[in-house]
Amino acid sequence: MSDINNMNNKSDINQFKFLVFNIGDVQYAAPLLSVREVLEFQEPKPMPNMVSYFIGVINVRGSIVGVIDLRTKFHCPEKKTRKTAMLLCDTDLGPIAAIVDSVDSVIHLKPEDVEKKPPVHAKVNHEYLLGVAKNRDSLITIIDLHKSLSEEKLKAS
Amino acid sequence: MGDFEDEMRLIFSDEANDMLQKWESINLSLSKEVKDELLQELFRLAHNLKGGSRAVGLVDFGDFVHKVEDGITLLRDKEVHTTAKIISLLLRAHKIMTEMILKARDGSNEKVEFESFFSDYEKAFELSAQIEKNIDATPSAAMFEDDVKADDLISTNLFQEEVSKKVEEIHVGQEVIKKVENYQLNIEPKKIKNETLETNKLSKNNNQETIRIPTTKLDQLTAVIGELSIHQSILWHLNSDLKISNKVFLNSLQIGQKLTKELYDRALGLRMQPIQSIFQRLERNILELSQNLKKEVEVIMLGSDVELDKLVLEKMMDPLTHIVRNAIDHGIENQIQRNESGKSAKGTITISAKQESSGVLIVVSDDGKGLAQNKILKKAQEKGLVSETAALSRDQIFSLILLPGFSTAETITDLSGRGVGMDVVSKTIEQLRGSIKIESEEGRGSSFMISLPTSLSIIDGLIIKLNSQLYVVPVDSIEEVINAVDCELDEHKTMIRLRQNVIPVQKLSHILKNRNSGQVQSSDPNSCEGVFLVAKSGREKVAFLVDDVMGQQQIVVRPLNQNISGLKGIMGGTILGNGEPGLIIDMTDILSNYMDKFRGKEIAA
Repeated sequence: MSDINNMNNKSDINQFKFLVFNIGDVQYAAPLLSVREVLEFQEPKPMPNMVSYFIGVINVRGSIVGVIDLRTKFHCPEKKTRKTAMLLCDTDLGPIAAIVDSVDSVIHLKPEDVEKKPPVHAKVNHEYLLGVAKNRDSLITIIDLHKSLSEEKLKAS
Repeated sequence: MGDFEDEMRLIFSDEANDMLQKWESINLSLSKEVKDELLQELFRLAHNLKGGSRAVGLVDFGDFVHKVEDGITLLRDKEVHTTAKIISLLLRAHKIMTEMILKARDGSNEKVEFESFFSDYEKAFELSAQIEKNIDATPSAAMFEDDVKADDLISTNLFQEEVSKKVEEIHVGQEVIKKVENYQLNIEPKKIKNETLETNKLSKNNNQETIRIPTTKLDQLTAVIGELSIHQSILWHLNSDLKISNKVFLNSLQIGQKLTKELYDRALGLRMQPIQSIFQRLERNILELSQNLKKEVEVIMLGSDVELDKLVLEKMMDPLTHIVRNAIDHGIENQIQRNESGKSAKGTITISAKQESSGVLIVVSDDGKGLAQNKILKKAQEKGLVSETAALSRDQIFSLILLPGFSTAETITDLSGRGVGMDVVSKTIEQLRGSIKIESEEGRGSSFMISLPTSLSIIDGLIIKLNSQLYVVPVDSIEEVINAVDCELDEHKTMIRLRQNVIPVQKLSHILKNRNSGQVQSSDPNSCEGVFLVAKSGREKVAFLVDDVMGQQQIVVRPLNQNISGLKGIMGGTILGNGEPGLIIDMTDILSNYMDKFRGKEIAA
């Protein structure tokens, strides 16, 4: 469902929906179905011996969930505002929360609006990139949250 | 094959396993004393197994049971006498059936070989029938040739009257069979007291209705209740902060607290199973092994109704089997040796389980030749596991056999072989957060004492502060807690002296590093303020420095999801009373890592 190719399946309207959020001054979008919920920011509890962008664990209704700071990962400064939010995503290795600067909206995109894997120079690792879409007048980078949250080794060596 | 049939098979295989377990226990009871009820029960079991298997289309299995059942019918109707040989064959049938059920469950079409079993089975029945016939006819003198007592009985028979003669003869015949049985079994019937206790329990269990629930459902229930109890404690903390004085509120908060605790205890209790199932399998192992080794062994089992978490039970089966095997194989001497040392010809193995405040204590003891301290010490020194000059206590010497690499093939003869795989035993027990202690007296026997926690999901934890964060340390992994101010430190602050012992010091914050903790440490690298937690593994002790100890609390252990699990030094997480997540520190892991590094340094230097 996180793959843009699946968007041809017109029976499920949710597959065309994307969650738009901001990190630094860049607007990103991720397939809506890849986000389980949006959480209010809560101070993570640090976990020892982890990579720099893994900043700790939080309590989500009784279960312990790891937190990845997407701001650090996408090379943006960490500054906490009232809008700072967490996206709770299910990865293959269990749930994980991602910190973003703010959550904007949910948008509909038609497959033809999306340019797959354009050869652009982005702050984001190319592997995480699903494509770039035009929304109103701005460009939105569509990223694969699953990949950007689960692929890397979290343990600092 | 349809899904429905698959499911039916799965249900049947669960039921069959229960029945087979009963099958085993009946045969074990039969080996002590042949009783009509037991044979009746065995027949019923066979019949049910046959019916059930055919209903789900396991024709092979059904046919197998059918043939075995034919034999049991003969036993039940007293046409053939139940000999030890037949009982051991019925146990063999149990093994074959278990295997068949396992294969059927996995959906494999592989055939289990049982032709050789049936040829043995039929032979045993013919033989037994032969003896039976001899009872009916006048017993031939040849049968009693090597039995003086029986001979005496026959001679008295000769003077008896015709009518009573027949009766007496039958009696003689049975006497002989009993003798034959004892000879083959090499195991004296267990004390009657024990046995009646056991049969009582068997019938008690029968009356209880049971329902099959997948363990995942139980886990979900426990998780939800765990969550509930966390929120209860959050409420409780809030109450002390807000200082609410409404009586009704306080009252119901208190009752809520109590009910939550009870609910939690009960939910955990659902996972508990009596240790009986392990004991039964151990008994059978002993029976088989002692027969193979031709040693006479009496088994005494105590406390088989003590309950343990199902997971703990499953994990303990192999270690206990290992210890018991060692005890028979290497601990208990053969009859000649036992006679020489003035012991009864029969060895005794006692396996007991006892509920204690901190968990369950399992003791396996034998009256064999015991462990030789000198030999163990010498071997360990040869292997370089311990320095030549080290002065070790008895306990420390015995625990040497738990070290990996202690034993090799050649030590089997030298050191009665104990130590082969003992490191695996000790590792398993450590994983379950238990401990093992060995006591032994040369020539008298040895005891292995294993302490286990009752449950894996709730522990006693110390709440500690480290890098201004709260962590949990399981209480049972800590030997003692000492205030750093009260300690005698050496000038480099690398050692403390504790009651004549010098213990190395390690800052826990150096092992569990946080992102921002670097600056805090650099400000005062040599400070040694805080509290020492002394952890012990085997003979080694290390004092770990933490900032503070906040208190002690019952902790609900939550597994971490795969993203964050498997970290060195962290064994799980929990939600603390203030609602924050807390990490549980695995002291055993940290200690063993520390030791490995330390040893590595020594070698490098």
